[in-house]
Amino acid sequence: MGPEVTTQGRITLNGIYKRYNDLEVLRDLNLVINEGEFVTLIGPSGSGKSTIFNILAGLETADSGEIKVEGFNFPPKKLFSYMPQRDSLLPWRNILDNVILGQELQGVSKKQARAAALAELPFFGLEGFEKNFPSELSGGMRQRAALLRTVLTQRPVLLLDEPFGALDAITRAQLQEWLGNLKQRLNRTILFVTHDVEEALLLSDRVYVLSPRPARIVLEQPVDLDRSGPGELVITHRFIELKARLLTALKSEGAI
Amino acid sequence: MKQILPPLLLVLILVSLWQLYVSWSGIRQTILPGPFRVIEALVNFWDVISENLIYTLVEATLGFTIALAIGFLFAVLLDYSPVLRRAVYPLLVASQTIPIVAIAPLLIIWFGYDIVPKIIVVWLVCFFPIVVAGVDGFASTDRDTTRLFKSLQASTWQIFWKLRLPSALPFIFSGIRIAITYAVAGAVLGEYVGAEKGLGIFIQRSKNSFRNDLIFAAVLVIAVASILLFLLVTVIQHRTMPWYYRQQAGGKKAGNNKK
Ligand SMILES: Nc1ncnc2c1ncn2[C@@H]1O[C@H](COP(=O)(O)OP(=O)(O)OP(=O)(O)O)[C@@H](O)[C@H]1O
Ligand SMILES: [Mg+2]
Repeated sequence: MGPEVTTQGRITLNGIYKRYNDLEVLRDLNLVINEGEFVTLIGPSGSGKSTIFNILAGLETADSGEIKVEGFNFPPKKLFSYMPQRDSLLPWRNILDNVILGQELQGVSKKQARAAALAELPFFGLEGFEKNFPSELSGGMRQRAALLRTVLTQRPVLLLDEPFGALDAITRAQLQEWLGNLKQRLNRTILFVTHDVEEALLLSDRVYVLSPRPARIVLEQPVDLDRSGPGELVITHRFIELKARLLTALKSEGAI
Repeated sequence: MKQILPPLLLVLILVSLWQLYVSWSGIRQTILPGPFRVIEALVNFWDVISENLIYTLVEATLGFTIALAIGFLFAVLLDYSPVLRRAVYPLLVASQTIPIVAIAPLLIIWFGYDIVPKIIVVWLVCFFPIVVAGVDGFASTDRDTTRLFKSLQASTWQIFWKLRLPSALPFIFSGIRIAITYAVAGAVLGEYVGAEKGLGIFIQRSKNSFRNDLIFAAVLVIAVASILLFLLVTVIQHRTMPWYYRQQAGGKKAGNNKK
């Protein structure tokens, strides 16, 4: 499923500045996202993570700096599929019609979009719930529905803004594991925002730690964990070492 | 059934008290007729009353429909243009302070005794709640969801039909329910100041011939007609927004028993 990964693409953010009136949110921000990678931004609340996403999704413009896109065979406007911090499911649409929204808005016939969506429902644990309204679903299911909507939009880069932020700890752990398993199948470039260090390590190939506002990169950390290994990943030596490193970086900036 | 029982009981109690008062106080029934006397009058004069009722209902529905159509367009316009909204909204509110009773006779002078001035009165009372509900409803659209639509390059048209209108529907229906309860009373008011047919002029004539029982009978008919129209709107609302009621009922929370 999804757009084929062909050439090795790369998105580069170079010296991005952004302020809202007197509030400086981004100051000389530099980021690289490689095609096919799972990159996580972790940083304190209000540091400007959602602002970065809004700039990438074209909802805000940076004051200065450039966003360079190489190798993706997509027009810049159709590069990113954005999942907002809250699920933003439409209460008047059933789950099936919610998840096809992206395609519908881009002119794909509803019938065709529904058929494609139905085939995906089982992988998102939503089989049999296609006729239910969002209000009839649990928080975890709503989040998975919002993610399916983001995926079905058929754009190569997913922007996931704290998708599990509002969930209880158990549901959250379930969804982290589920997304970890689904990653391969999705075959997309994913930019992910979280407050949770463990979540970042469980899912990402690379983590950027952001400073408090105005946001700069404090640490860029590749995550070299063997996720297929036996036993609990979170108690392996390497995991704890990486976790300590991320926490130290967050602390050094007075973020926590 | 559970929902109907309490109001039904209350009505029964009030009607009994009314009948008791009339019987025990010895008040003349030409001054205050008892409920039985009113029903009797209603049955005896049903031909005349029903003929007038149809007239009044036609005025009410025509005025309401026009108010709904123009009110909706107005709400869309005001939603679309903040400048227009700032200019028109205060005027709309101010217009509500004008007593309709004062304008109704003028309307008759301007437009004559036929149906037009009544439709205008109904339009005047229905327009405001519909516009306000529409404007508030459109404004209630979720900002994050609007951003989501924009990130998908949705057109203004798509945002209106697929997001703003459905978001506004619960508000619009509240406005419609208020408007429809005013509609019949508005038509009666319009007739009262001058008409050839309709319940308003029927009440006027009954008053002049000291038939208080007929006034009560007409009022009863007006109340019942308004309630029925209100129920009709509620049924349409349930049909249009099933998701809204399932949401209020709390849903069946499907996810709790499945991962
Ligand atoms: N449209 C806007 N106008 C003015 N200020 C804004 C706007 N959007 C965001 N801000 C401010 O910019 C700062 C960064 O906001 P942003 O939403 O990017 O933070 P965040 O890192 O996503 O925070 P959180 O983790 O709480 O979601 C905040 O202080 C916020 O109040
Ligand atoms: Mg945010």
